[in-house]
Amino acid sequence: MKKFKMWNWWKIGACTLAGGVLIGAVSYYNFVYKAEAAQVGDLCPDFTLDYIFGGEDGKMVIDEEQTFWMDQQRGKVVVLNFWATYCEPCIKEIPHFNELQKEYGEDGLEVVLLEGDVSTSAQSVLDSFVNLNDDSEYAKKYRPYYEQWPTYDCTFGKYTDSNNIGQKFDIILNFPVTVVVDRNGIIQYMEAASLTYEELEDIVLPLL
Amino acid sequence: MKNFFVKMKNWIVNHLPTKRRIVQLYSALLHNAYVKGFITGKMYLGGTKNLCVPGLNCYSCPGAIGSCPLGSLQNAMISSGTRTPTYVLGIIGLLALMLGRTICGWLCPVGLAQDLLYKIKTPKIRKSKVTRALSYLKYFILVTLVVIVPLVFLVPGFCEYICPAGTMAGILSFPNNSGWLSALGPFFTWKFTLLILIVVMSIFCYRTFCRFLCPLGALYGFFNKVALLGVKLDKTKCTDCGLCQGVCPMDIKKVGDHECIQCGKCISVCPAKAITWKGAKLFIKHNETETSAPLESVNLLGMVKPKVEPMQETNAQDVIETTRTIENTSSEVQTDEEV
Repeated sequence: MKKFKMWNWWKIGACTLAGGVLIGAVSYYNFVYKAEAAQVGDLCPDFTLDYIFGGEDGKMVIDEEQTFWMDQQRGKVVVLNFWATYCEPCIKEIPHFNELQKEYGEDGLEVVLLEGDVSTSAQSVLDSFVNLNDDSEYAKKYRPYYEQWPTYDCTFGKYTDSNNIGQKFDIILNFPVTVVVDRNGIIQYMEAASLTYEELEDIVLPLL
Repeated sequence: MKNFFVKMKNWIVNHLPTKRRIVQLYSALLHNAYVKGFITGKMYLGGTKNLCVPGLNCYSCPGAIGSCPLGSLQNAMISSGTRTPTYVLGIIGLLALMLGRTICGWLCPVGLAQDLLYKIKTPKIRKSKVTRALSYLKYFILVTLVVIVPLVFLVPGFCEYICPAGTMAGILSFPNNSGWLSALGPFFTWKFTLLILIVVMSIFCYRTFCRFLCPLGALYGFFNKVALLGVKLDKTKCTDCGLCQGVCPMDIKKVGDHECIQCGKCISVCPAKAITWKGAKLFIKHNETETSAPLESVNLLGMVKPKVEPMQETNAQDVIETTRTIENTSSEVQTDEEV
């Protein structure tokens, strides 16, 4: 009889421990853990771009010399736009960003367009999408947009899996995502939505 | 009115969850403890995300608090170059050696989902030689999509082309955004179709994914014989009646082989009581359907009439006491039935 009584205590102990672990886990993950990702009102996290694209001979190429550090943009208003090669609305709104850069660049505006498909390499993005010049559906649809890019003023960049900039922002990356950072480095706007030129101006002008 | 309550109580008593079901539910909740993720659609990215969980729970699931072992294995294969990914292999090996396919039967959330789907009352497809043959498909998937494709083509083959948990995870973080929707292409169509197919088949055929497609089950299956926990067949007691194999819902040839998910259905069915849980004598209570009185509490001397000693050495009081002890002992043993 003694053996069975001991066994019951073991069972109760194990169940209590298991219950405690579950309650502890649920309360920790849901209430104590705070995502490190930045939200509107937080300081914009520092990052650097792994790849910057520049225009050369009417095509986009990887620019080995240019670098971009977010922290060095203090004093400027920065507009980050996350896009992807498969995102139609993104590609269609990129001309607006370039106009913004042209218009307000001298007032201290920096527009950065970030390609966010971490599973594609930078060279593939250029070869298979941006510089694509064949008869495919994709090329026919997007060529009119892509071929303007070498003339654009804004900065084109790409991030990779190891330097996943997207993770630093507390937003689901449903491209297009636009983040606007003011001169002090504070995030003032962060939304996953397409924007018209007027809407962009409305957000950016008060900060300039 | 009273009849209704009686009927309800009877229904509840008859449909109580088994121990295994409770453990499965507990495990599924623990795998996805970041419940907030399901509401906001954002993943958990903190410390424990680097750890492999035992069951198949996609890294991208909004609620997931750890990494899928298959995803980790494939990514390790991709980025390992010429070095062996010892960390991931070590964790998976440790889990497999300790638990074997008890993970499949007791811990895996996808296993739970399939068990619950199978409960839907429809005609069922029984196991046969065909299903046994089909069960070898998962080894093929393990070798090609989990090992070779990541090493050679540098993409996580299983995650990309097959895993329904991944498709589910993607849908659960469903974004309501034009950019995302326009991005859905043939890949999504294929994986979504596969997900629907697996869900529907699981209603008619027990654990379709586990038996035919899951490379994690295939991997754990290799360790079934040597794992610390699981079912064990005592060959000396076995009469080869085949009842265990008959009642088993998986495609086993022998109890505890690489197909066995250690659910324990065979234990209650064996007429010779030849199947037990491993380590039963050490940790787990001896097989519940047997009654065994612990020897030390029974005064044998009081039961057996001594040949040499005179009668007055044993008195009636002793006999009554020992009989009471035996009675008390046997009433404490409970039977555990699989509902």
